[in-house]
Amino acid sequence: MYKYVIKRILLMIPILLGITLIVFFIMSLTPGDPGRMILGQGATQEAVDKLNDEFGFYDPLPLKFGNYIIDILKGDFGVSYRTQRPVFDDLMVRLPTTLKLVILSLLIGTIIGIPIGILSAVKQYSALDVFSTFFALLIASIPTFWLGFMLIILFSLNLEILPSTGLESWKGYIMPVGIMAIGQAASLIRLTRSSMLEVIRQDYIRTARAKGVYEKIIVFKHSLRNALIPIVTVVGMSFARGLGGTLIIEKVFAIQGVGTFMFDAIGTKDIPVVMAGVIFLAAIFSLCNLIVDLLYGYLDPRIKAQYSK
Amino acid sequence: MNMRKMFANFLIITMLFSVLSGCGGKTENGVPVNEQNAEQKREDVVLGVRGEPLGFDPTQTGDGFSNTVELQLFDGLVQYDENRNIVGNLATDWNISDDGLVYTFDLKEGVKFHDGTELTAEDVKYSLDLAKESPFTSSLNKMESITVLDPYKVEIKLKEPYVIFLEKLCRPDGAGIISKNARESAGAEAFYENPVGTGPYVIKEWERGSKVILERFEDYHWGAAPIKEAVFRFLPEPTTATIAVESGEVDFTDNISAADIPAIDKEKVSIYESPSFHFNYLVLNTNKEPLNNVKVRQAIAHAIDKDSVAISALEGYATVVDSVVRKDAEGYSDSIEYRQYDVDKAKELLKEAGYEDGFKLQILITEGYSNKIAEMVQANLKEINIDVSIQSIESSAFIQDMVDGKHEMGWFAVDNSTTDASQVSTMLETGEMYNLSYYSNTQLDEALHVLNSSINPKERNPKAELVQKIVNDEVPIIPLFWRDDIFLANKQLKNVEELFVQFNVYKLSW
Amino acid sequence: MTNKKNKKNKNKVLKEEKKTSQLKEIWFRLKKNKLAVMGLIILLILILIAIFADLIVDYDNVVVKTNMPERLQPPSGKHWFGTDEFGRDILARIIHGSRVSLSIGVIVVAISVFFGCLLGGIAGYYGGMIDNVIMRIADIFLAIPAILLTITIVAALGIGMTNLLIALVIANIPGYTRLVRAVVLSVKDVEYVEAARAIGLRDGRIIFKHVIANCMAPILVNATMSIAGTILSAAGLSFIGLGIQPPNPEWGAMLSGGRQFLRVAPHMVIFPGIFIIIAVLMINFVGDGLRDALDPKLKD
Repeated sequence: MYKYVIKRILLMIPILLGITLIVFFIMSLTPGDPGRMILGQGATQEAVDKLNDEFGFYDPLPLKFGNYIIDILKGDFGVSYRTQRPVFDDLMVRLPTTLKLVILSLLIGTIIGIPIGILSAVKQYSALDVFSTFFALLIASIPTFWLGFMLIILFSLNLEILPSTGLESWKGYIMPVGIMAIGQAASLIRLTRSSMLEVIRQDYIRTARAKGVYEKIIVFKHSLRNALIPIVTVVGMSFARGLGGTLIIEKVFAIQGVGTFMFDAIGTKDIPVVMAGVIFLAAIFSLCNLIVDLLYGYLDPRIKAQYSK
Repeated sequence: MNMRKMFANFLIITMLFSVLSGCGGKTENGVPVNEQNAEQKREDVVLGVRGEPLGFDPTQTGDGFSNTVELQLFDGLVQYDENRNIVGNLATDWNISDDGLVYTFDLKEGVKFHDGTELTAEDVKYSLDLAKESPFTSSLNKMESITVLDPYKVEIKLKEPYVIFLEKLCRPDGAGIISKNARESAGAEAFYENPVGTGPYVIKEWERGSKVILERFEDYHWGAAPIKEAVFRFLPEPTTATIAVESGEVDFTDNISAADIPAIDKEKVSIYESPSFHFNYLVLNTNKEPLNNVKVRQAIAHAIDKDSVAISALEGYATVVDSVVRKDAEGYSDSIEYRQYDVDKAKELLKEAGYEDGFKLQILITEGYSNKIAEMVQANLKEINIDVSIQSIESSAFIQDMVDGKHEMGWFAVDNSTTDASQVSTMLETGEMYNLSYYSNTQLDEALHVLNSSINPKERNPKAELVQKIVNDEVPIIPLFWRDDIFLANKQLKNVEELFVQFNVYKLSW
Repeated sequence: MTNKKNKKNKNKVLKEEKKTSQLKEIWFRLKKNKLAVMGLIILLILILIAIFADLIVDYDNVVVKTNMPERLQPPSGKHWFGTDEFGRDILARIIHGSRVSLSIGVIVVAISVFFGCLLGGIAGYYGGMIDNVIMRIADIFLAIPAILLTITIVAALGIGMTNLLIALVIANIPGYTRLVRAVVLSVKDVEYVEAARAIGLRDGRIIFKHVIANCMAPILVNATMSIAGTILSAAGLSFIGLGIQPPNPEWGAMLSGGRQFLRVAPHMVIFPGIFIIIAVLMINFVGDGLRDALDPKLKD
């Protein structure tokens, strides 16, 4: 088992390297240079060139990339071109906000989504099933920003019961988290439903039923355990993906999180920030992948058996 | 509980709920409004601004957001009064030599810095020396030298006469006086975040990503500000900023979309508007065919419906202009026949130029309302067979591309804090960085030179007229409008209009 | 000799019969799903509208030409969905916009599926080093949050329709690569491949045929969902200014353009929004229905 874990962790390294390379390459295609960006249009070309030189901007691409990797290994993620502060510090300021949003919405989404999904599967084709499927698909079809603005008009402007921006008070969390949570719930409903349906049809379930075991217990014990496996995967990956996917919600509700941080950086060609952000998010993604795979192995006895060989 | 009782309870609760949400007592900062008015006047103000500062050193920052905060932390040698006349600030008196090259300032005595030390001419020299060399305050590099004549007297020599020099000194976000001692001992980097100036406010706290809190400086040399605490909250979306003011979360914002104005409840908030110094125009790159043909440029000028452009861009919150000099500015000439919106004339001119069948043209724009301007121009020019394609580029790259001359037609705007005719030189003087039309005319250059150096109206006005005539005849640019500044504020906030002159929180009170 | 030929023909006929009855069965199951049926009908209507847009509304005069005196009007008898900030009829723009909005989804997914099949097929079939390299690259791309990947690509290449398509395609390919590879792998090991090999049929043909057969279902279902997702992504990108630019009446661009008029003319945002929701929802219904219909395990 440990061998597998270590192997996986080691595998993360070339993947992260690959990501760094790709993003580095894409960013190098973007027009603009840090010197001009920082000093503005009023600066002389010499001043701009000097600053660019300091940043190593004119170095050939492989050299730039090499230097960057070496710096990372030393723990130095560079300084933002725009704010002149260490990228890591800037990132850490924004991280808690996004974390709160993602974790809360995931929690709420899971609590709502999974039970409804289970019920839908158990009572397939019932009114509840059709309605929740419809509802889940509907939610998945609504553009987030559209919904966000509609809700702001309703709750902040007309009813005046919720603040429209920021996360000053707990009330400020309701709309952004709400929207994200409903989205999570919607996809979990569908996933849980199909996952449960698959399991309910497994042969051994039929066998258990033939033996006369009380149906309710069958559903909850056997089906659930097995259905949980892919759900765990999805929830885990939703967390990882959520961290990088809050951009639109942040824009609508004027929340300063990781999403807008990255977006601004990409737009202003603030390469150190973009690189650090992508590496960070990808590392979390890979980590989640690993944890989820391990859990998967633990939950599914067949796979567990495979690895204890 | 039987059914009837349950139902009755349900009704009561529903009614209570609707009544409560209907007449929810308004609160401000958690304290019910009526209670407040009776007991105490507010001493704090929450301002919603579009973006976050990078730092607070006037000579090391050029972005609008840092500038806005710096205006509260520093003073300039001179300042504007409420009618935009130049009066003394850190300087009590000044003298300008006849040739316009030497400015001598007498400084106010007993002015305290935020750290308690006193202002002397050394600080002024230090600050302006930095400004002279800084790429962020490039207009100030027209200064040649700054000399300390005595602890309260400073002499500034210019390289050449500069008519609007004093106006530049009114801006503490560029020419603000900083403490030499503080910056030298703390170092430039530390000073960047912990500035020491003489202004009415100091930085209390900077919550990155959220807000900057300013606290009043009790020993401010003009007297402590009425507002004790000013919070600048970063609200990038105009829709949310507007709603924030309407719901009372924020007391003031300048980040407004003109489109929202008809929907705003005028009972709840006050709307202020005023023409600004933000001049919008279309650039025609005379290096590119067929824009090198003057008749083509003239045709385009006649094809554009400027009023519609102003409406679609800013809902009409702008002053549309025919001339490159604004009507209320000195030197405006009303004896010139400026080009009007005339589609037939446009078609005729295009035919004369030999382009009756039209051609393809690209217009370069960036984020913001320039999008709507481009769409309008596109629709207008379609009428005369010109097929416009719109290219939108992110703002920092946009400026670079325009400066590099990659555009055919482009939108641009300048804000030189003045309507003076001399500012045309930024746009059209030969060799100027922002001469994005690549237009060169020696007559024009000569006229602009006079406008920049002479302060004699008898000399200037004929030159101003010449400038306007040339621009109207040759059409290297098409003047569109001067944008309005719009502020949205809590009804009880006083003196908001003074912020049009300069964004000084010092002027505000409840 | 003739025996073999006869057998081949018989196999062919059997196979074809099996195919048609399989298809019939799938169609039958799909029809049972009321939501899927509704989805298909409405989608058909939308597609017809998109194809015949020019006949319904004159592009130059109504969709592009400005009409300032009638700007920002709420829905009325003359303008069923109201007018936009340039006075243009919103219904007309929505009708023309359907072309771009719907085709973005289809084009992006079609190209992604094509490359996904290619790469996934190669990876699965050849295995070894090639497989490793392709899969690592796919993993790399999958590890970057999709939104950020698309934003980065668009920021690097520039704003515009082509670049938007490129960005969306790049974001979609890895998923399909993985999918197809998984199918190829599962097919490679199955017993009947061994049996077929024993009879003498070439590896390539066997795998190819079986891969296609097994791929169809998951790809079809996934592709349908992807089309829906792509339409939403394109709209989202337009929202933050990196997608389709005005005056193109693409639905997402209409949302972006109407955003600042949310309070005075919400109809500018509501109607395109509704159409996006309807299109995406119908596609999702069909996709969901397809998934249920194609699931071999749901054979009761």
